[in-house]
This record gives sequence, C-alpha cells and structure tokens, in this order.
Amino acid sequence: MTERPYSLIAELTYRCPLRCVYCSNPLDLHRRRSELDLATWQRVLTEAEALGVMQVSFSGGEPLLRDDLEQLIAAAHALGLYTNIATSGIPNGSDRLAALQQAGIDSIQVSVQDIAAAGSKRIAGGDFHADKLAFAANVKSLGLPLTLNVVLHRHNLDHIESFIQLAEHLDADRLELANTQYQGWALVNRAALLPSREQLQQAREVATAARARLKGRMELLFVMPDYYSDRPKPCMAGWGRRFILIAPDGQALPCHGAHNLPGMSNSNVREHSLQWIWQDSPAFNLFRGEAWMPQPCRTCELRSLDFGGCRCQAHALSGNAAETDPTCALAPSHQLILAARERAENAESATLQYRSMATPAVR
Amino acid sequence: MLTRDDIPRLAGKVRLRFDRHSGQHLLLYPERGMQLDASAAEILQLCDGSRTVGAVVSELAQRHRHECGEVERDVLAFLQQLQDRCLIELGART
Repeated sequence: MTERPYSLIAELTYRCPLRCVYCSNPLDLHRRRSELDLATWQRVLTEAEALGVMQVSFSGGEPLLRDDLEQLIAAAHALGLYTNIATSGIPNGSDRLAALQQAGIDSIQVSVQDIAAAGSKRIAGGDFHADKLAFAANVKSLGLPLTLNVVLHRHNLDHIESFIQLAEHLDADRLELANTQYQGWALVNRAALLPSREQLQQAREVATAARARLKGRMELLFVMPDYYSDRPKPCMAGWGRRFILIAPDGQALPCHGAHNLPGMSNSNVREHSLQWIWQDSPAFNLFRGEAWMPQPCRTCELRSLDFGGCRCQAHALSGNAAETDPTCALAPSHQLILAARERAENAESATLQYRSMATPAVR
Repeated sequence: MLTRDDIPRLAGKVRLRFDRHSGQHLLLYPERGMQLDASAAEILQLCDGSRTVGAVVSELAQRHRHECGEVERDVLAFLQQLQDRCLIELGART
C-alpha cells in the first residue's frame, strides 16, 4: 500500500525578478511558460488535502508574481493546510503582507544572497538586497513567523557569522544556512560556487557554536553540501514517499529536478487527478520503494535512511537515473564528485551564468 | 530551564492540528511536522498562554487521577524538549 504524502510544493510560476546563479529551476525555462490558473490550483489543493497532505509551500520562481497568491493561501488555509511561501519579497511584497496575513499564511521564508549589496548583486544579478531586508523587517513587524534562508557557496561561506547576526537583528524565527545543491543552474555554475573543505569546516564550527548559544530562541539549521558528505542526502525523504512537487505548468514531480528524467511523462494535473498521479502514475512509481535499487544500495543498511540519494543528481552526473547517487562514496561514479572537489581546492575560477529564459551555454 | 511557574504557549510558527487521516494530532511548523500521541496533544491543548505549567499539571492530574509529582516530571520534560526546538514560547499571550 502506498504511503500518504505530507507536503505539497506548489511552484506557482517560473517568472522571477532575480537571476540567481544557483536557481534550482530547470534550464529550459523558455519552453515552460504556461501556468496553471487559480481554479486548477484550488482543485489540486483540495485533492492534496484528501490524499493526506498537511503542508503546502508556495514557491517558484517568485510566488508574489501571481496576483492570486492571496486567494491561493486562503484556499489552502480553508482546507486546514499549513501554508508557507518562499519569496524574495520582490516586487512589492510589503504591500501584500497584510492581505497574506488576512488569508491565513502561517510562515514566510525570505532568502538573502549575501550580507551586503555588492555580494548579493553578484549572485542575484541585480540590486535587491536592501529591499529584501526591508521586506523581512516588515514580515516581523506584522508578527508573522520569519525564516531567513541563505544559500551557501564559496563566495559567502566566510560571512556566516554575519548572517547569524543579521538573523538575530531581524528577530527571525528560523535561520536556514543551506549549502547549494548542485542541480539546475547551480550545476552549470558549480566550478564557480563549490567551496573548499576547509571553508566548509570553519563555517560549520561557527554555526554549531551559534546553535548552542541560540537554543530555545532561534532555530538554526546548517545543511552540508552532499558533495562533501560522502553519503547522499535523503532526497525528498524518498521518491514518491512524502512530497509532491507541482511545477508551474502542472506537471507533478517527485523531485525538483525530475522534469527531464526518462519515464516522467503523463503526470500533469491538467490531465489526471492527484490521486492517480500519486498512487498509480508511472512517474511516481518509477523509483518508489527499493525494487529499483542497484548495488551497492540494494544491500546497504543505510538504504532506508538515504533512499539511494537523488535520482535527478544521478541522472545529471552519470547519465543513469537508476544509479547510486554519485555523492555516495560507494557509488560507481563517485570519482566525478572527487574531481569536482579537487577543482574547488584549487579555487579554479569560472564565470557565472545567470538564470534566464535562454538556455545556458554548454558547461 | 523551564519551571512550573512558566506560562507556555505554541510558538507563532507552530500549529496544532487534528489529522483526520491518522486520527492523531500533529504539530505543524516550517518544513516539518510532529505526530503527537494522545497525552502530548492533551498537554499542548492546555498550553494556550493562559496557564502556568503548574496549572497544566494540576488539570491533567485531576482529569486522570494521577499524582501531581509524576505528571509534572513528564510535562516538564516534554515541554523542555519543545522549548529547546523553539516550538513553544514562554509568557502570557498578549
């Protein structure tokens, strides 16, 4: 019997004022401009709740670019779902906070790229830093729960102390210090973003000390990059096990990067009920459970904890989605990870390619 | 450390919800959820910012005809865990 999903990630749009070099959105954005309308999202939310979903996170792209975001939050709230948005606050997020609060929003996650304007601009491709800080302050002034999110990489890891101070200054409820996951645009820019091991260790020590100091006052997460973990991350808590992601065009996915995996067709909510997609679609059953697992996963005692890692990462790096995630030290393609680490140690310089609706140049 | 004189309530980011699929209560907060057994849910329903821990303990002890000392140990241990994880806050609801 299939387990129930707990979380829905609703990617409302791929449009975004920012052009972050580590965006997890797919590279072929130009082919993916169509968006579900409000009525379809309302049906999807109802079907999700019926399946067992308890939480919905609205993201994108930039969810504020949907004029009906307030109505979507209200619909989810009316179903009893816990609602979160992942936003930059741009454009004009502050003007909409009161309506979002009225609609019943439970939590707001705001990302910052760096601690100062210049570093932020380098990553986001534009001047957004001051507006983001103002937005985050406005979230708190309305008494709404604030998560400050920072995606970490070679250019901002050394600022970790300042990120923690910023979160305290903003009175954030949570601080997520999450290393870049090298998929989507981040994989294109990996050579320019991947940190050295020493950098990571120093940052982790600072974060660990701060977590102890802030215990009971602010929740602090530090997420290591799987490139340095030697064990893969438990991607989405297992394929088709807890999460449903719905892309702006309505394609339901078990993982952020699954758009272009072989076998991912026929999972669009425009054509199918969410119940069929979750329980019966080939897409959600492709890597569900353990039957698909190759060695060394098949007999590994960690397989029920890490689920063999990320299928999309395996596909992107080795060309075989059914292979053990190359970040695992036991994977046949682990050499690819070691080579990337070695280049990072040598601080190989590379130019940044900004997220855009055009396909990136070959890496 | 949490004491019997503190007034606990759920943190702003936390919702206590009945889950019709499992028949149990859940705590929901960003990116996570926590399944609660019946006694944990009962404790948290009383933590509404109007009672001290001591008052929560008395209420539970009376309801279930248990000894206060035993209940207090369990309640304090449970709430301390939640406070360490920033899931409850202390002080009367304003």
